[in-house]
Amino acid sequence: MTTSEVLRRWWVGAAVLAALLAFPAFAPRYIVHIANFILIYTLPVIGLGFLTGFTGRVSLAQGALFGVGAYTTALLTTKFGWTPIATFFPSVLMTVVLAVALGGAAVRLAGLYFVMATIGIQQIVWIVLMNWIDLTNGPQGVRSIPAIGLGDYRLETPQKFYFLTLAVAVISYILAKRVIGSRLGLYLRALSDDQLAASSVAVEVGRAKVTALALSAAWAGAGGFLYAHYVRYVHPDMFGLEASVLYLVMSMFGGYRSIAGMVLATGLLESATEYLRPFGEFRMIAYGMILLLGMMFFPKGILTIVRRRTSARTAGKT
Amino acid sequence: MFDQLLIGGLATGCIYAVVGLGFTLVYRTLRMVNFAQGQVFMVGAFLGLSIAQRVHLPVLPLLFVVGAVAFALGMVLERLVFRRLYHNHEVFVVGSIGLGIVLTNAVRVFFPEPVPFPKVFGSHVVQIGTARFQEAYFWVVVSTLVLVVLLHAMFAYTRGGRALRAVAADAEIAGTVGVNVNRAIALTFGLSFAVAAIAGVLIGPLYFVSFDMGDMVGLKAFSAAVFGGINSIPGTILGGLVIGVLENLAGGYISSAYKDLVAFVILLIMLIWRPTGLLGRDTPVKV
Amino acid sequence: MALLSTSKVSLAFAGVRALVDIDLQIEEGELLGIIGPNGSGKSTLFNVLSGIYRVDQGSIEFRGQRIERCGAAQIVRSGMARTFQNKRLFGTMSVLENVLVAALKGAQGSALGDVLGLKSSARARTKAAEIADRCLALTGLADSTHLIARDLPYGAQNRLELARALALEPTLLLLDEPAAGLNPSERAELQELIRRIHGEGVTIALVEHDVRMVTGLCARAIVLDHGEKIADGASSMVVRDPRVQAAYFGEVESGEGTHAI
Repeated sequence: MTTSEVLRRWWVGAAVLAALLAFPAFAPRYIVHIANFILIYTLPVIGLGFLTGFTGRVSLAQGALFGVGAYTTALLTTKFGWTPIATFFPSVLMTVVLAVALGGAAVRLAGLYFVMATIGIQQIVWIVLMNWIDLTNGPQGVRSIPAIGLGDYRLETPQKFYFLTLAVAVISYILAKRVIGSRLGLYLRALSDDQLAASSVAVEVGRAKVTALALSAAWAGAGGFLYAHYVRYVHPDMFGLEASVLYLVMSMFGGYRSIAGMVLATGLLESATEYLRPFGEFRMIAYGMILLLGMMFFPKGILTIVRRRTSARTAGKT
Repeated sequence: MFDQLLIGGLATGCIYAVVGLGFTLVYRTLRMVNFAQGQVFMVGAFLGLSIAQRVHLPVLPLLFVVGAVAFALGMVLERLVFRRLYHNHEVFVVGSIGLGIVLTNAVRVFFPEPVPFPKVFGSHVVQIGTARFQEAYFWVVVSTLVLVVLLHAMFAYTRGGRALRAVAADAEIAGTVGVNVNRAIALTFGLSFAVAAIAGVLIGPLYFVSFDMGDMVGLKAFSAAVFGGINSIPGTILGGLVIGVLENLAGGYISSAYKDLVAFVILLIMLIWRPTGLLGRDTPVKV
Repeated sequence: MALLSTSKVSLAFAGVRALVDIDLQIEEGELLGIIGPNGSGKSTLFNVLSGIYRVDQGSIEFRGQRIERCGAAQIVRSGMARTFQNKRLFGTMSVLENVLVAALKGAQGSALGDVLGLKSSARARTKAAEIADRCLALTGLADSTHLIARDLPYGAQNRLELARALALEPTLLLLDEPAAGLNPSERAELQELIRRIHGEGVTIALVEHDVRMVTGLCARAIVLDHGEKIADGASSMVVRDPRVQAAYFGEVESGEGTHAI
């Protein structure tokens, strides 16, 4: 890239950052509230992206894993009195451990079987959350989750929480890009293109897949942590199959290997769901239609169609 | 108590088996899983309900009408919708889930609350051993049996059925010997919709029908199919019965809270241990 | 001791005997040709050597270690590399990335190091990039590094497959019909390239249909037919062996169109 291009990128980035930082001062509370959800959801969506775009695996368990992160912090803070910040690492760790324990063996399965296994994991986690009343309060959920705070300062309003979610979302984005730019990213793309060829160039396929699974769980757990301390109430129905489908759609719609695309798709789809909320069942019908039509006509996400055309032209083929 | 649980389990097991058959039929032909199958089951129940509430049909014609309508619906949807989802598994899965969501909520618009189903099977209470149950349970098992026998006869002895089997075994070769593969696929979908819808009518009188009844049933029928072998018809039936009985026994003897867990734990263990299922054969699945 | 030796290797698929009692040696530094009619087991032999198939019977020794129970990635790490007959490139990745994956074999550092920006990882990445650049230059792909693999023309894909195998810096290189589908001038280029690679000290086993290429490059050749080794010796002698001619003769009859001996 030339110097002027680098400079331009920096200007654009700075402008975007400034807009994002100034945003809560101008926007109505409701919009900031939505923005928080969008930013929080980018975490499980990007996490899922490690599996879908880069490893070629579909998972329908991300909603449950998001829930594990949320419930871990909810229980540690309400039942054992931990301060919220201290529970971040345990929440993420718990999600990763559970995901690898339940799904580690399944990730070596052929694609369709892996999807099936993740459905099993999703349902098992949801059923346990719903029925292990002594631990999770079951259908009553966990209430009065404390807000995250430093000393006396508490992040109790959408505007205050916004800066945390923005910071976390930006860090998550940068980290995700670094991960896919690392050798692991190369290995994952290689094995998703041709697993046999990948192992023939010394890629440890099994290990790479489990790592991808662990990463997807870590991102989900982190997102769950934020969610629990934002809405301050968790219930198993927030982490069911519908949530998993939602994250999957967001992850697939942005273009299957584009982190930026996933963020964009999350923003668009969440805004759409919010906009349609007053319409009740019709909102859900619209949502289902978006899924269906999207898969019928844009199976690889909208952004990849654009990318492919540019690349083929460069190679002199079209 | 055991007899009671066993009979109850057999009845739900039959439902899982029949709905599961829908999964299996589509999978054998296309190597794809249609996740709207549970919602088709639900639609069938409501279809039956709507008809039974207006017209006083005896059971057999009711089942037949619902089956026929669902069959037609299946063929139409294959043409309009499913055909565009064949790119790969992931696309098909997500697309069919989207379809399921549309069906669930479309029904929800008209029936937001659970509705009781007319007792088309009569309301006698039968006693076998120490178990007492509504005669509807008995009819569920019998109907399933008849359905399975009819399907088997169709596949084994009719030309159409043999054509479907040929396409399931190897679509390319079937095409070269003159089988209309596209029509066979459409018929397979029609069949999978029909059986699920019929199952919906069968279960209707036993419980209330509601727009979300397809969700859990669909997932458990799916687990049953995977457990028994998703490319094996007898395997799916066996899987459905086993899961139905096991979950009922677990619910009775261990705890009713974790009853639902049975199907999914079995699913997960089966996939890790033997993905092709109990009776499934090793079909090449793209990795 | 031979670089690679097999003893009584046999493999059957669903009743078809793909390899029968194969005993073969590959000496360090040689360029061995492997010829035989279609279906004689040449690719299967490579699959067995590179750890993709497991043998039913027999043993394989490579650099003094028994490898018949080892997985593909492990065998690659011990110094063997191969190309595939039906090119198996990483289609969505660029030319450079395809080779980079291979060049990272055994590299220092880790993905975590990459993410954290550790010096050891960065150094390893640079080194791998150098290896990749060298292999791409050798195979004439230096100008195409950013093109996407599946968009390449056939000949370039061929060379990419070779470049990728070279990036593994193998002691033993198995080439599975690298000339398939190439026109005569591309074949000549390939022959020159193989000679150059061999000159750098890489032991090569070459499966080829083009018998002239084999006699031109390889001092020694073995012949497979129906899974059995039917000849083993100087390549110019082997191709004149009446049994070998009989094995090929049937193919010319059926109009397979292989090059005449």
